[in-house]
Amino acid sequence: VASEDGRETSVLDCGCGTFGLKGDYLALLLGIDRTLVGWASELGAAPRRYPTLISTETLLRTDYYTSFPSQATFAVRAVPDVHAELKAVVGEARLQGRLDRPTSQLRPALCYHVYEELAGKVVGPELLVFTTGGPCYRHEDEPARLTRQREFTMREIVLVGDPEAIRERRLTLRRRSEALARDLGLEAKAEVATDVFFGTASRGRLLYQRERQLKWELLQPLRQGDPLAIASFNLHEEYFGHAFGIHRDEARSLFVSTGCAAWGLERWVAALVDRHGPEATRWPETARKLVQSGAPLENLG
Amino acid sequence: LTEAEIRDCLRDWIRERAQGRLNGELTDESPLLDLGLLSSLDVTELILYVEHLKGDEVDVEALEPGLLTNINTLYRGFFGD
Repeated sequence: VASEDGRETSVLDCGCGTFGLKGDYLALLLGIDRTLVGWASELGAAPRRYPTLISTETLLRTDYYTSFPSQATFAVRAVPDVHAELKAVVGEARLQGRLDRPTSQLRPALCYHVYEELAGKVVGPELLVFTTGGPCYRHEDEPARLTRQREFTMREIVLVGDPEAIRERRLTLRRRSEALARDLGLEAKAEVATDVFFGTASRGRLLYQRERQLKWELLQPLRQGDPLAIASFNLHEEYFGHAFGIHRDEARSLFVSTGCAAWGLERWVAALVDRHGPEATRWPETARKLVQSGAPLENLG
Repeated sequence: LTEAEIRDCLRDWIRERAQGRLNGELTDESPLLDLGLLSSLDVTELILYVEHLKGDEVDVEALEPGLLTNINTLYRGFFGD
């Protein structure tokens, strides 16, 4: 990694709160992702590639707009009336009031697509495991490179079925993630956490989530500022089974439980750089191996 | 309200709220979450009810873990001080 004025240059500031990666940082991100895909494979996960767009109808079913309204990033075209003069309208920042009705937005997480895929189905007693990865989008008022981006890369393993089996897999993934963090020379610890819910119902949801230990976050202490959540391990109980009508039995009397583990890949890079510096030659051996395993994928972008 | 009255109020509220989900007697040791007597939505309403009883706002962030275990922990957690 080349350095200029002591500042790493493998992060590309792409404007509007988004950042790109190149070089060793990108290879590390891809190497970590490859490791996670390996874990998913060992759990028998079915791979998925979903679109980055998700319908607002699907997110309405999840109550996303009540819980996280400030993060929603809609995908919407300009109304036909202004197409002839769109360049001028955009250039003069006159788009307000000239946008079409949004029916989709950029996905804020990956697992919603899995529930959408299974909506209305009977999935039976076996545990279903899926994995999917790619960019996710959450509006941030104050974006920060690698740690708090409006677009970031996530890998998820999604668990659907029996609650005990989901709890067991969640614990397995937590332990493997803690071990990987240790191998990378990080001090990350998993702790009970809560989402930052919005609105009047937020206190009850927060308290319930905390009491049930529905969310664990793997938190890496940073040299400055709050610890960074680099992964989360979540139980949703029957929330999404109910929301999407996904049942465990033909009689449709039992809703499935769901859970997911999610890794914010740029944050793993951020944690490593914060701990060991920007030069890959000074990274722990495990990190250097991950760079090597990710490097062949780098050219694919 | 006395402690006994508050406990009565909490038991009555949960019985009312958990109609159809409560099989058998509700005691002060009944495990509320494990028995499925409190959902996420119930907890939101419970906080409002506790604030009504206390006449004061509840700071959720300051509550000790284990609060929702049973009536005993609810009483101690919300009204103990």
